[in-house]
Parts: sequence; structure tokens; C-alpha cells
Amino acid sequence: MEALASHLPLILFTALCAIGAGAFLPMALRASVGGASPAKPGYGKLAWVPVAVLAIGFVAVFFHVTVPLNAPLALGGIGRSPLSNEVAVGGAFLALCLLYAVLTTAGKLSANANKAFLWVLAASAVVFGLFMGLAYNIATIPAWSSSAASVAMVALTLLGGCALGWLIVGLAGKSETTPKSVGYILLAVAVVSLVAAAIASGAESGIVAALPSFVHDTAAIAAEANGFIAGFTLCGILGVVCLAASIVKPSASRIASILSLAFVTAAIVLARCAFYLMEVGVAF
Amino acid sequence: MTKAFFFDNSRCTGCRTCQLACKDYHDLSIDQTYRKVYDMESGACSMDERGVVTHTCKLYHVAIGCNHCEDPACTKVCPTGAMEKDPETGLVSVDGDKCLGCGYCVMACPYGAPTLDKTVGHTIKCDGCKNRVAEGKKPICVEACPLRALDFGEVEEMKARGESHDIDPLPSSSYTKPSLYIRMSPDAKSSQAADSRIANPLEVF
Repeated sequence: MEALASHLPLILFTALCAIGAGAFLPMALRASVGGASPAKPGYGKLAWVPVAVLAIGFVAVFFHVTVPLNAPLALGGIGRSPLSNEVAVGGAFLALCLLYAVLTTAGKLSANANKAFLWVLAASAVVFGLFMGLAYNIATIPAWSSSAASVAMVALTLLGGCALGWLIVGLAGKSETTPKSVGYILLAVAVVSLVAAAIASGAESGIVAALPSFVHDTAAIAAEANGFIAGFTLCGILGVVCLAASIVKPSASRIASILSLAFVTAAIVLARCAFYLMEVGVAF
Repeated sequence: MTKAFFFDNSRCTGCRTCQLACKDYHDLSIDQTYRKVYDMESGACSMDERGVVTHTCKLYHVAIGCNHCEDPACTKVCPTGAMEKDPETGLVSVDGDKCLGCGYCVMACPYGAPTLDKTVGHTIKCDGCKNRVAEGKKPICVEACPLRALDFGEVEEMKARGESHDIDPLPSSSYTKPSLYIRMSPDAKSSQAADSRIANPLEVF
């Protein structure tokens, strides 16, 4: 638990950035389909919601480092350090999100421009999720350097994004006119992401359990991580069920999507707790 | 010409003089250390029906600081380039002015060499006494060892004296290729042997 406390800023950073980034996928999907739309394309001030979530995540990570003023120097390791790559991709993504939020709030985007921008953001969100996973590609920490870490991070980005993005679509007054097919696509993405993240996390704990160590009881660490993974799975299922309810029952849509976001957020935080518990290196 | 350490495990008695000399020379605080000594035990005693005791007990000590690896994990993950390997000597040191304090080097190092010192705001670690080496001297731990169990010099010279990089409890040298050559005592075993245990975990962790 002490290990988790010291990693709390990173838990918040990865969880919030995954949720904020992934939200652009449902927003892009809704912007691309037919059905009656408000006169103004884009999400206007609601575009600041995922930006705010991302920004809070980035602020949280500054509590992890001891010399925040040296943060710009982190770009010096691009190509060499996985952390530098993550910082660069994350910074570029945040800048793109800010640009979109400014333009859509000012009503400067045509319908086609809005659609294109949202799809760029949606694709970039997946890339950002991938680089958040690759940031932990440290060869001397086997569970983290496996491909499962990146798979899990991308899956969490999509899962969190489905919950937040669908809520934003609803707040924009678009869910009542959204074809059910869009909702079902998001539901499918959420289910597949939940399953992928659970399997990937389970694979990581399997790696930890098999590690020889003079100091760590790796079986016990894996068992503790499995507890968090079970919690992630349960909260994730509840989140997906609420998402489904908000899709099939428009009258309960707002409450159900808020509940979905709450459960999915809790799920992702638990998944990240499991990940940081599995910081077991080849040392000793 | 890059440098390496030689550790004669057959001579080391675990006296900790190397550790104390390092702490004194670098003026480290009570809870800081650049060099650690691992006391390794294995085996057990048994008594037969005649009362004759036999044992398979083994004991040896492993004294290591930073191994200034050929392929250091710390320099690979460092985002700011604060952790750097001197191209001439091969010594790895941290530039405190560039260090972000992210702790990635601490996570990555398989030997536990870097530690994040929040009082100074950056990572600290053994730098191989690079200032002494620049003056043609050896690191203080090498000079201090009363058993002459430590040596430091050109890689080829140290390689000729040692036979292995790998000794329990150190991880396999294949991960980072430590610049460390070891002459193993008869009691020492190769990495990850099933019945070896660290006898002083509270001291070293």
C-alpha cells in the first residue's frame, strides 16, 4: 500500500488522461453519423470537459517529480527515453485538444472540419494511450515491459473514453437524436476494452507471480494485484451495464451515463493501482 | 579506456569498511549509502541418530555499489539526460541540475544503485569517485578495503582477474552488462539458486 501511495500522482495522471483522451472517440462517432443535429456543429463549451480532465491529469503528474521546473528538459530524451516520448506525445495531444476546444467554442469550425478534427483527436488519443503504456517499457521490470502493459493502457483509454464521451454527447443534446447504432458501437468498444484490459492485467500479474526474488513474495504481490484487477472488472461491468442502460433507455440516459462514468473511473483507478503494485524488477 | 570493478568474493569478510569509507568520503547522511554489503546464506544443519551433526551451510558476502554498466538501464530511461555515462571512463553519474526527480532510474536499475534524495531534490548514486579517478587515483572503497577484495582499473585488466559477472543475489548480467568482474568463493553460487537467502534484508533494503 505504501508503494501505491507514492505512485498516487501517476495513478491519477494515467487514469484521468486515459478517460479525457478517449472521450473524443464517441464525440467523433456522433459527429459523423446522420440524424438531426443542432444548428451549430461541434461541441462548443462542452469540448472543454475532456480538456479539463486531461489538464487535471497533467497537473497531478507534477506532484510525482521533485523538480517540476526541469520538466521542459524531459523533451531532451525523445527517441531514447520512453518517458520523454510520452511527454512529447502527451504535450502535442493536449495542444491539439486545446486548439479544438478554442475553435469549437468560438464556432469557427464547419461541420466537415469539426468531424475531421474530432477523428484526428480520436486517433491521437489511441496513440497517446499507447505511449502512456510504452512509457513503462523498462526491460528490468518484466511485467511492465511486456506488451500487455500497452494493450491494457489503450484498452483503458477506450473504456474510459466511451463513458465520458457518451456523457458529453448527451449533455450536448445530441443523444436523443443519435442513432442507436452509434450507442451499440460504443457499447461494443467498451465491452471489448474491458475484456482486453482485464486479460492484459491478468497476464501481467502472471508474469509477477513467476518472477524469482530473494526479497519479494512475488506470489503474494500477484495475489494482491489480482484483488485490484477483480475490483476493476466488477466496477467495469457495472459501468458497461449503466452505459447500456443509457443507450437503450433514453429517459434514464443522463443518470445512467453519469453512473457509468463513475463506475468506469473507479474501475480504471483500480486497474492502475494493480499496475503500480506490479513494479517488481529483476533485482533481488 | 573504460574502467571496471573487480570484486574478490573469496577475500571479502563483509566488514563494511568499503561502505563506511564511501559514506565518510562523500559525507553521506546516516540513512544514505552508495555501497551495500549483502550477506548470503544457504544450506542447513542436520543431526543423525548417532548425534553426528552435518551441514550444508554456506556463507559469503557481496559488496557492490553502482556497477557502471555497459548498457545501463538508468541512462536509457532518464528523460532529461541527467544520468550520463562518461564515454572515456564508462562511469555513470547523475547531473543534479538536470535531474527531474521522476525516479525512473530508481525503478529501472536492477542493482538498486540510484536513490531519490528528496532533501537535495534529485537522484544520488555512486559515481565511481570520478574526481579521484580523474586524478589517477582509485575509488575510495577500493583503497579502503583491508582485505584487498576490491580493485578498479582498465576493463581488460579487471576481466583477466575475474571469472564471472554473476553471483547471487545479483540479477543476471545479461540485462545491463555490469562493469563488474568477480572471483567467486567456493560458497558462492550462480544467480537465483533456490536455497540462497539474503541474511540482512533490513540493512540493505
